[in-house]
Amino acid sequence: VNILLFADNKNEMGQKFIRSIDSIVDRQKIEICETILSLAKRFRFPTYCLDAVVLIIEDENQFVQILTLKELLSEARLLLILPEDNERIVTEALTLFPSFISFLDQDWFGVREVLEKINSKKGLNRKVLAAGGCF
Amino acid sequence: MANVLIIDDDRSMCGMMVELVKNMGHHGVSAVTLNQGIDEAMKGEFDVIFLDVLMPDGNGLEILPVLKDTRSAPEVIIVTGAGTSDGAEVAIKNGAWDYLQKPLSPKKILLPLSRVFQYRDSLKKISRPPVALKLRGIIGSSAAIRECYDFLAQAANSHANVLITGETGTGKELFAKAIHANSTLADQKFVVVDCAALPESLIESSLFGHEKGAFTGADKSREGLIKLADGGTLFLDEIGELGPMLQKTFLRVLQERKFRPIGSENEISSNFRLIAATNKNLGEMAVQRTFRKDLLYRLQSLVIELPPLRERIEDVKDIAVFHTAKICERYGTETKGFSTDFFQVLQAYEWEGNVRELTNALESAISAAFHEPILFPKHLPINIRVKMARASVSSVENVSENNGIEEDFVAEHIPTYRDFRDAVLADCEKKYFKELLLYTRGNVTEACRISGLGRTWLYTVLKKYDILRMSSAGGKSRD
Repeated sequence: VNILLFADNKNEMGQKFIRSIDSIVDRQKIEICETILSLAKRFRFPTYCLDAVVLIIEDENQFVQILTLKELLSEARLLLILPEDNERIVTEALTLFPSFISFLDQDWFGVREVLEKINSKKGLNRKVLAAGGCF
Repeated sequence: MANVLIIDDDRSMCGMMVELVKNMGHHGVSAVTLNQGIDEAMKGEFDVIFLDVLMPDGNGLEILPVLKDTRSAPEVIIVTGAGTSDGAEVAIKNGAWDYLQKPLSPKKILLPLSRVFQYRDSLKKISRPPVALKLRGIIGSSAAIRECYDFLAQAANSHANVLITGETGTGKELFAKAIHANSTLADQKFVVVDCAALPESLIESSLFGHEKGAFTGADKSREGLIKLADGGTLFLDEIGELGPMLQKTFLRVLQERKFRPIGSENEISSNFRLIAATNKNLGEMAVQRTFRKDLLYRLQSLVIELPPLRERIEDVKDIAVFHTAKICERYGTETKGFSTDFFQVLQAYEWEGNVRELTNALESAISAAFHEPILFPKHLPINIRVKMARASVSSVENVSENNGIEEDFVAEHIPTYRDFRDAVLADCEKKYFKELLLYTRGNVTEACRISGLGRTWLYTVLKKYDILRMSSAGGKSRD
């Protein structure tokens, strides 16, 4: 699977996440954006080869900024890791139409399982994704 | 006063029905062959057509689309002596108003007839304002997609369960979102459950939520998506992926609007509107017992079948223009122009991955032509160009082998390949069908037998090349 990962560079959450999916995703297939700006800029390049976009959102401030990218993220298969499990945040997160929601205080097991399933399905959709590569 | 056409080979039946219609204060006309029926339907403006299935010159069901397509868009009531459930299904799917089995009594005819009149009257009385649907990125004006817009409007006006079917990339999620956006629930939540991406265990906990300690890792209780969708729309994408246990549980949710989160002893309720989508044939899955019939019945209160892109190829240009502008905006670059042959290639390609494959190809082309103002076919992904090149080579080989057409070319005036191919094909087709009708002396049944084509298809081609009119001028076509 080709993954675009958003994880803040100030702490090690992103690295932890990458380690947790090590056995199912080749590190070279993970593209990392460490700031909201670089995430927004990434969408100025082809995105059709991304199988999933994983956003590790560490606080409300980041979450609000992510919401401003709604339009850019609208066609991506989003896996959200939200800062906390409260109704307001989850309700707003649903407006991004994510495929899966998890939370920072949970383990990465769910996200891992989703990526595994996406990986297993990928062969079926190869034709649609056949239009070149972007890495 | 309404106009009624009766197409039936039984003359006494025709007489009885014309009389009946007359007694109701309307005008009735009859035809005793399908060919005659089509002629009458094209000449007049009918509100209702009674159409017999078993006719001496063919099967009435085959001309149903032709009749529906005439100027007055009449309602067609199928009449048959030997009704079958398959025949009834074909008739209704092709837009028949009703399917009646002989013997007919005046009572049996009067009820559907008066309902049609009532319906047509109400249509005339209501000057409906044009409905401005929010289509949100759904592009197209072909007949196939316009039919889907009608269903979209119908779905938006009700809270019935909707099943959207279609191949991968046809826009099922866009339609689901558009139904929600045009409904009275538009300001409520639209909750997506991506069954294709979630493993079974996660679908269950995502849908129903769980209590603290319900399973390993459930260190907090969590609300499920069904509850989150309360008052809004729940969109189950790729519902065909649900396993048997989940199908059973979800059926109960649909029936009772109540469910029990994992590990909970209490039931909670949620009142949501369901839209489901699939690229699988759930009917076939039900026959193979991999999808519950009772769940399928619940889902398909309203079904929207999205056409593959190859069946609405006339929309390709509009879709390409729309998405090119959108992608360019995202890239922060000025939108691109198109060379004429760029669209020709797009329209000649098959698009097995549908709109999604097209937008991916456009994104690829735009990034290949990032600093160029115009998109040419050379910017398209290599796999598409190779496929198109192969197709064009084999086609030209066939043409030159069979017709020696190359002698007709004057080098400076070589047309585009597409123009050339269309012209040659049209010319050959026209010659074939003219000769066919000459040979059969206008006998359409015989022409169908020889050509191996169905009546509807034959009429469509004859109409396309104006051969019916030409043959009528030289001697009316007959059966």
